[in-house]
Amino acid sequence: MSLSAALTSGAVVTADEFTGPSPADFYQPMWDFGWIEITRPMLVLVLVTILACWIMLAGSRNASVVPSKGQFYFEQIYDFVRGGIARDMIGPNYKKYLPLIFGLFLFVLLSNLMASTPFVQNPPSARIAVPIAATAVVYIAYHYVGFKKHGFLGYFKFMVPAGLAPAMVPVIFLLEAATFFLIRPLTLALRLFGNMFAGHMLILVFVLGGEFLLFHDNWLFKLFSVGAFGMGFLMQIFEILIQALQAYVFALLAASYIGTAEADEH
Amino acid sequence: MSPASPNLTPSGGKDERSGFSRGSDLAAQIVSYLIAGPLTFGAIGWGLDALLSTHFLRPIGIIVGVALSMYVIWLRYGRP
Repeated sequence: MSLSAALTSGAVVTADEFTGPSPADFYQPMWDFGWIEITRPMLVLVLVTILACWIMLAGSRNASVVPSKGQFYFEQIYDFVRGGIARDMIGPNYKKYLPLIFGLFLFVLLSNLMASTPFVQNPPSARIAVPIAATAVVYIAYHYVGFKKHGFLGYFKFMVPAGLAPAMVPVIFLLEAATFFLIRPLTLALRLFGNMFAGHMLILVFVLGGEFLLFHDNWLFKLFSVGAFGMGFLMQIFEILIQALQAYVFALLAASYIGTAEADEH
Repeated sequence: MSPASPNLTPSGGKDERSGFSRGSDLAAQIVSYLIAGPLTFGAIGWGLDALLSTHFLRPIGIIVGVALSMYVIWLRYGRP
């Protein structure tokens, strides 16, 4: 379903000419109600949410000292986020923020993995709205923590590093404020979006190219399609690594921003 | 001069984070600064250019921004 939908929606395969995939391939409306269009990424997002809720409920319900297999795997992931991300980045007060970090990690991880899940094969995180929404949550969280911890003016004062000549303070403040309020959320959202979008595009190129070669009249082309599909498969494996890594980086930076805002004044 | 690096040691003590977490975090922070400098001061230069109908302030702003970015990176992460 997914592949054929991708094929018919964007890339036109004619006898002699190959048209590569384009960003338009990511727009896949499913039902049109006039006032709202339900697209595939929306449906996948609902699936991701249900899956995330189910994993968390199933992993923590009936929790026992001797864990079941499911609980064991769940605790492995949880431990990784707790020890490897939250505690490392935030410090001793990390427990308050753990649900947020873990929720974000699981959400982003599942959204990314949907790119390589059979029959879904569409990462919601490759639509810019999803990284922006996830980043907005982080944005509100770390500024809230910062303002609460340092006070309104104190937070702005806190942004400027100590040990500056007084003349430099306004200039550096401008730079720090731009970093805190603009560049950090921008890079956080664009990093996730860019990685997922490019990865999905890469797979599409190999698979669509292989398909074009396979259905070409020239038998030599048919032979080469094996290589294209092989590369598509390899890239799929490689993508799974990137998907997990990007979820980790997203959660890591979210925790790091909160940790910075939570840090004591210098 | 005490090392002013809240980003380096959020726990306030010695940095005990694992190499990979710390590296990824540092890389992302430094990239943020490197983008922020030229963008902010380039924008200021561009605004002043429009205001004064000149043409040379935007490139100057961008160069000053890069220099300031590097200065802040040194200030936050470069000192022992």
